[in-house]
Amino acid sequence: MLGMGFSDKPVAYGYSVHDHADMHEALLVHLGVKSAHILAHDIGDSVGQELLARSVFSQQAYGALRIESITWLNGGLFNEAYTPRLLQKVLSRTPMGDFLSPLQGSGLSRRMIEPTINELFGPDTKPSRRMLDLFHEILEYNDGKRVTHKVGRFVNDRYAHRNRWVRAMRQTDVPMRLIDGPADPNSGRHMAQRYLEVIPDPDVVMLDDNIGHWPQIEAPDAVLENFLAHVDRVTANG
Amino acid sequence: MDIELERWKAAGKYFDYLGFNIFYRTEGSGPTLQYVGLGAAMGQADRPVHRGRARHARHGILRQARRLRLLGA
Repeated sequence: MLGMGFSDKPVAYGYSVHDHADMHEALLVHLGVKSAHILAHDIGDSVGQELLARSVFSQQAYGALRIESITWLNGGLFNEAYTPRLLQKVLSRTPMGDFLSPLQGSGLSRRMIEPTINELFGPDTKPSRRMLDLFHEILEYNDGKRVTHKVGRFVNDRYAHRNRWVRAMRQTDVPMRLIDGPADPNSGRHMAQRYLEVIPDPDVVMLDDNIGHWPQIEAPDAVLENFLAHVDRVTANG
Repeated sequence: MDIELERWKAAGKYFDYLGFNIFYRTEGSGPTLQYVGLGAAMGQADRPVHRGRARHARHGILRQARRLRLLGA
């Protein structure tokens, strides 16, 4: 996605969930993909919600993607249940992100960020030093330190579009499954509980109690097994 | 750059989105699985990534589901 990983990271840019959704639609058109199963995590949950809403309300910007199924991993599906860490709130919801941006990539910045990253993992699946180093390397690629806080402001889109996205989730015929790491302090068991309250006929898989915010990294086998079971059932019924 | 990360990146492509380069990877064949989110590259670490559990994220989830065409951007 723009602003992340090995992609361009322009500074003078209005990063938003809608723009990420536009990009995904454009990429799928570029590749000639007309239908797909979606596996979404974190910011991807919000982008997936927007892609779903566009599908339900026929509002695609590019093409007409048919969503075969959606599997949600941990993320802020319902803003009212999302409980981000203090540092995340400071960087994404206040001007402090702009002031702290020049420090990103420094030893000080890493010492500030790493406790928050660690907190999001489960107690038995904390990231190794190498994993953290890879994380920083990817984050800082293409001078990413200048835009991390700008990309993180996508959380504001959740406030603006929560009802549209939840309405789409309630109205859609697309089969959905939530696979949740309960130990995630941001969007763990409490987010899954909210999913059970809000979504009709909810399909929720709770992973081991000690799995946190990154199920695809902390428990890849369990995620894969439950994801493929969902896809197989959808395919068999289709 | 970390050699394994470099290898992972080298297997990807770039897509021109309105003048900006978007990195993406495709792998496998069959129905398309579109991964939307964070951590795809981090799951590729070829060594134990967890401290308390004897588990290796040797091939992240995007490389395990080989009967799907995998797409991540």
